Amino acid sequence: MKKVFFAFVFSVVLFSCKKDEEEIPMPAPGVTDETGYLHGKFVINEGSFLSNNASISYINASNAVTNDVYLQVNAVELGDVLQSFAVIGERGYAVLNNSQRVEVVNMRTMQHVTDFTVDYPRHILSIGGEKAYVTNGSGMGVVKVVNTTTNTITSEIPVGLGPERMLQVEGKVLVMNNGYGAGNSISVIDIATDAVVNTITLSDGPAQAIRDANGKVWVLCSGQVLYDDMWNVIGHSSAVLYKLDGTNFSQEAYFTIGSEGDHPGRLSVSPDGNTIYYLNNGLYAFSASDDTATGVLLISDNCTSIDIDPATGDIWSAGISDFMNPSWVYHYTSTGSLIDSLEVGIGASGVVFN
Amino acid sequence: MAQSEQDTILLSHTAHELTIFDQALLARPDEQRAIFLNLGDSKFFRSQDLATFLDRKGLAQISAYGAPGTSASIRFRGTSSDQTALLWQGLPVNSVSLGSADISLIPVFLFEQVAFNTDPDATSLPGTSLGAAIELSNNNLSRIGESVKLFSSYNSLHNSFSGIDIALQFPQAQTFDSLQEIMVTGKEKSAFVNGSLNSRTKVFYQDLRNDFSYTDKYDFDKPVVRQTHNNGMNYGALQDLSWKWGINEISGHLWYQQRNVELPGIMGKSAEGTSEQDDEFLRTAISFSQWRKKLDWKLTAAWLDESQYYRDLPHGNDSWGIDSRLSSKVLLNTLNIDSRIAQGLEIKVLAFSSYTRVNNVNYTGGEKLLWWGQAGGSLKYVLGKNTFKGDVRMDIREVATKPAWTLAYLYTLNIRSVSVVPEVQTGRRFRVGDFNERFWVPGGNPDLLPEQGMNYKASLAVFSSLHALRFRIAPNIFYSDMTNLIQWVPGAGNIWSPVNLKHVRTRGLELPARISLSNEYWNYAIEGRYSHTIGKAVNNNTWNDAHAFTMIYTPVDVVASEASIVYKHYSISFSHKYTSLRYTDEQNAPYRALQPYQLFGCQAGYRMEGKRIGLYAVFSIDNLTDEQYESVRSYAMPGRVYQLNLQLEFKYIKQQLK
Repeated sequence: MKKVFFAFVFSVVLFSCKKDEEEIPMPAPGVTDETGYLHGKFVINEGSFLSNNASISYINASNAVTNDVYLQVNAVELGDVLQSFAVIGERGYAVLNNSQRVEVVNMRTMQHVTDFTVDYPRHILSIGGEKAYVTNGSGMGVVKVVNTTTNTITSEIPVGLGPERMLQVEGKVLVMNNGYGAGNSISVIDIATDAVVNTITLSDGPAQAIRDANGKVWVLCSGQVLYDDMWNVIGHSSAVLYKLDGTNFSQEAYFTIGSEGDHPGRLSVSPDGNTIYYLNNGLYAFSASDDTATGVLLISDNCTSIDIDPATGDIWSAGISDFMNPSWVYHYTSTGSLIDSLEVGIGASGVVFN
Repeated sequence: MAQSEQDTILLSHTAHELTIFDQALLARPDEQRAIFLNLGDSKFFRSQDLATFLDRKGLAQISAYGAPGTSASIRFRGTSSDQTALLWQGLPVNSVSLGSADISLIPVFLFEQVAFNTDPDATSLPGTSLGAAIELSNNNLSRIGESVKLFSSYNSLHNSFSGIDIALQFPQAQTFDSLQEIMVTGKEKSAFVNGSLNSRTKVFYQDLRNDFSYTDKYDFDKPVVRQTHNNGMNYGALQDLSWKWGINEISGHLWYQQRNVELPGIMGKSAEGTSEQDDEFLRTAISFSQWRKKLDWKLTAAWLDESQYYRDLPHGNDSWGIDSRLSSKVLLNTLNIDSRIAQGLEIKVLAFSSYTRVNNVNYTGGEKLLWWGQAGGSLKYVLGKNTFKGDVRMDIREVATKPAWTLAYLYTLNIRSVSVVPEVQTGRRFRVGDFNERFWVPGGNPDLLPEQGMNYKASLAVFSSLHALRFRIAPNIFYSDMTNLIQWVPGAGNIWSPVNLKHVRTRGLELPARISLSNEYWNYAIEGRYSHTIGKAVNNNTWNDAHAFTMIYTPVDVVASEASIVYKHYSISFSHKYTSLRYTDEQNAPYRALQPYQLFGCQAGYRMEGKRIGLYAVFSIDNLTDEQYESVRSYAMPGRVYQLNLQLEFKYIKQQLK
């Protein structure tokens, strides 16, 4: 019996000392539970162009912020210009535009797993299974098809000018061909075949799309600044918000946003899909059932992003950054009352929730 | 003249001590406020670009974007590169468009003297510099005689450099003694009447391969990466001509250079780089000078034609790119008058004008005409051991509604008998925003206010000699208070635009010292320089700043030292430079700071000088310990570099200095 007891104790000690692949490094800055960085909010800090100082700020359940988590864990800079970030399963994908790569991290530990090269990556979207799409290119672009198990690029799909954000809708992915405002179309990709099945022409600068509770797709087109050959401003094309059918993506309505010279770039939706938000020198909100879609001014602060916490409906917005100094993100209630402000990294441009 | 020795930084055995004659020829108004590097006899560094050379000497902070031939700028005492003026033939040659001067373009080979005027005189050095003025010059032509020098070097970066230096004189008149006496004593000499045509031609070609590996610390695996996008070539010619007769001299100068280089990318996955840059300029100047007993004057006209083509063109699925084609044409005129109207009393007058046509084909709203006028004067009075000097300058720019004033005064107590020279100096200076800062489209800010600065300096020079032992130490403390510092920040729509920062202060200490011992065969020398600089942005308009942050790329401590031994024809030397931590962002994030680094170097040389032929061979190792460091964040610098320099000299006249 004594031998059995010692064997039991020995085995407990032995197995408790075994190195776990998912072991959270000590210290894991900002981590408050055993899931590490898997759950929380992640601020995308672009950093300064050509400065290799892009970063991720981690906000835990207590809304305590830890900056530079990747740098602190891995002792190496994340890269140059963090364009976007997404969590797919237990992996985080940091899309580093000017480093021309996508960095893959373990979301429990924030440790580097691998990376893969993309020459002009913008955004990544998981489309289920082992597949994700990465938009690529500032000219006539492509969508790279990525195997998220091997983290390799398996194929690419030609789309339009300067593809940016994507939205998955009923077996299709809508790609915003923004082209820095010069693009004016949406490419519709069939997930099953990885092929473009439709191209929808809208107005200048499709920037972001969301889907509301009614199944309708809303697309914000930013418009663009028009220059002559000598870079003199000669005018602006209007910002337009489109309401599309959620199945065949035909236009049902459109609304001009703001006045001449306004170029809003962000659109979001509440967790229940009933309230739509957009930025235009302040944050506006309107009901998805609203036929006028002009909205009411909810937050007058001039911010650069809006992201809605899917769990609470709270609004998170990044402040104006000078891209040289730490920036700020602001936390509001769904009705626009400021709850908190957090100092984050350089050039905050959005918040990702997981 | 009394302080010429203590402020002269000598390049160990490779440079000769500047004599009073040298100082007179340099014709600085305040020799005690300048640091002179005499490169003329330096065989070690002739193929180096000026940026690398100055960096090793620790005289200024050099920001280099990688290996030789890549852009590099210079800053003093916590100021920016735009605030450092580069002068050639007394004319400002900073980029009209960019404000700064790219000193990586300039091989040391082209010039024999570099004067650092860290407290620029308001009247004799045209330019608007808050930091310092660097003047490039060559030896007076009449001193050189006739010679042909062939120079070649090759290093382990697979970079090569070839140059030829031809000095001619018709006839071989010994006029320089008279000139010397005129310059030093102000006396006219009847001997100085024979005509003399002097010519100096320098031509060089530099092939830049920059073939080196570095540890990419921005890649997770920290791989050793080969630099693959940093090739280039650089070639040019410098022609100086002078014709002297009597007390008159006409001189002409031409400097042409072209450089085509690939620019390296930042470390990380995009290390290959995709951008390229072509620089080309033609600088010409013609001067007429006259020396009289109580008055010298010099009239100069210059034409500067420069272009810079920077491109980072689209590749792959990328249509975003930069296609920047800058060009500028500048007409400069200066008039300098130096009058010694009474014993101990000297008055100088400067008039300067500049007309510039500048354009950036794709990024400005057409060609701009900029003009700039300066007029000023100084009064210097020597009373016994006391020297008083005050100067005033007025600047008129096309953007200014009223003239801007620059004022400075200086007091020196020359206690020569005990070899101690205290000095105090105060000056106000300013700088107007450059072309890009005002007219870049989109983002230029035509409403920028001029930067202004008040500078204060106090120094104490002590020098002494005991038999063959010579000692010199010249510490100074400085303080600068600058307002409306111009800095680029992103604005609406993420379009960058320059703004005025409210308040920046720098203060510090500089401590140059040298000790040498020599006899008939041996010469031992140790020299060093310590700089301590605190530069703080104490009030920044762009954020509510309760703290004072250290200015970026401003190391607090820099120590440079060199020890050399010369025995007959042989020499060896060792050098060391320590640069402390440098912040790279305005919030001084410690984990983004560039870590301190130390560079060691050594050289061994052989010198054979015959009556008609001279041969110099120098083998050097730079960065002996293969230090992996960054001068500008994310740009890899080369590790250990081996280099062989050869110079063959054919001489027809060997002038003897007095």
